[in-house]
Amino acid sequence: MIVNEQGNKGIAAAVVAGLVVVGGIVGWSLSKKETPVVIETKNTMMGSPDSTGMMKTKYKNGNYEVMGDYTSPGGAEQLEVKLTLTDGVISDITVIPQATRPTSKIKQADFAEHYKVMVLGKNIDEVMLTKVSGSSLSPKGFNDAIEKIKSQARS
Amino acid sequence: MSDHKFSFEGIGTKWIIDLYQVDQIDLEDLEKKVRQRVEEFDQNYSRFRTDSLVWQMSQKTGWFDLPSDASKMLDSYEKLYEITEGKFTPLIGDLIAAAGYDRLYSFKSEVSEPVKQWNEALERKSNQIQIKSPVMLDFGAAGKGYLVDIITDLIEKNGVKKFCVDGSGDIYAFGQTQKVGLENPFDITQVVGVVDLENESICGSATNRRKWGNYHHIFDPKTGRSTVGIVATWVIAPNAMLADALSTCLFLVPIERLVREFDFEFLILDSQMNATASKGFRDGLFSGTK
Repeated sequence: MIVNEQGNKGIAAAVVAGLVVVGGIVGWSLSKKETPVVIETKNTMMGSPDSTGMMKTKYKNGNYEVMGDYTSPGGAEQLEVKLTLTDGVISDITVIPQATRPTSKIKQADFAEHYKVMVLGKNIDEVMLTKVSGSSLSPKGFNDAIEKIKSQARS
Repeated sequence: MSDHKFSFEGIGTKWIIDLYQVDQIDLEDLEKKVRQRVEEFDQNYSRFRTDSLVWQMSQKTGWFDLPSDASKMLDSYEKLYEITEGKFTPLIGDLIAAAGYDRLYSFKSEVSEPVKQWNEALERKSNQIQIKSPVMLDFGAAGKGYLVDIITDLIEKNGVKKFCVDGSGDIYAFGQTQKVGLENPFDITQVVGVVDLENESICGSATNRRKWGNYHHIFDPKTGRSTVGIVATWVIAPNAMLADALSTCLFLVPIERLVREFDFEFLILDSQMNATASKGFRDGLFSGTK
């Protein structure tokens, strides 16, 4: 059962009945832009999807929480989806995996957002650490050979 | 209780072993066992020495007996070969050597043949392998990680309860948390983040050290050239062989193909310092925005 902030269960019921998360969905739009998100629906209680699969019926603006049910080969699983509807369009969405089975956790990770960021370097002396991980140190023979080639190239 | 650290050169790189609370341990004996085990691994699997099994298998066809530790490693390579549709392969040695990273470090590149398919060149039967077509195998992608696991087991069996095996950035932290800095491949005096590691492994791969001419040491067998775009990867996984293998796979195939098969954390860095990270790496990264 889902409710929106105004407690409107009728619309909520329709959305949750229609919202079935299946393993192949990768098309979540996680941006703040007001572009429609295509959701695969199993059941169209209110209105029928047009050829693009989008629900045509207008829903009340607001925030919704949905528990999507799906069946993995290991059994029933749930995915929690929080979405914001603005003028019939999903303007924001968060997917929260609820998987209990290891395989389902991995599959849900497929469409939980990968974190993308530009990183900065900090000097090793300024950081609390006990080990460093990166490419392996190359052996002396390798380094010597590279140096030899470089000096040959210079001459 | 006191701690003990020792380091040595092995399989072409530097190793550091940290042992904690070792008052009851015969350290001289343990150190000797570790060094011997590393040398044994090198003698079997190195393509840089003419007395190795791998060298012999590159010189002629026929059936070869395998050491007892081979099957676990070959099983992993076989599985990842299938998952990556042949992009992650041990049959890459001839290509790397032709590009210049050969036994003598000539760094002179020459034309090479296409990389052979697994079934074309190899056949496995219990503890033996048939070389059907001479091929230089290279186990660089997962071999070091596997050796980290082997040494971890060895040290544990010798009674040490807290220790760290560091095979030059491929690390297993046993019973004690390590704070692992993620080396900035563009400036090795820096790190781009720090992650806590305990009872699991982190392995890092990057293109910054082993490079020459137009090449670095990670090759795409389909193009015959070094990979382009990704500069560094890290993987945290329950064992080092898996972490090591996956850190190379990330250069070769999309993340999704690996995420559906294995449970692991990853960090990928491109040439513009853009990072793609799983949850486990997120909090440890240094960035302008979160």
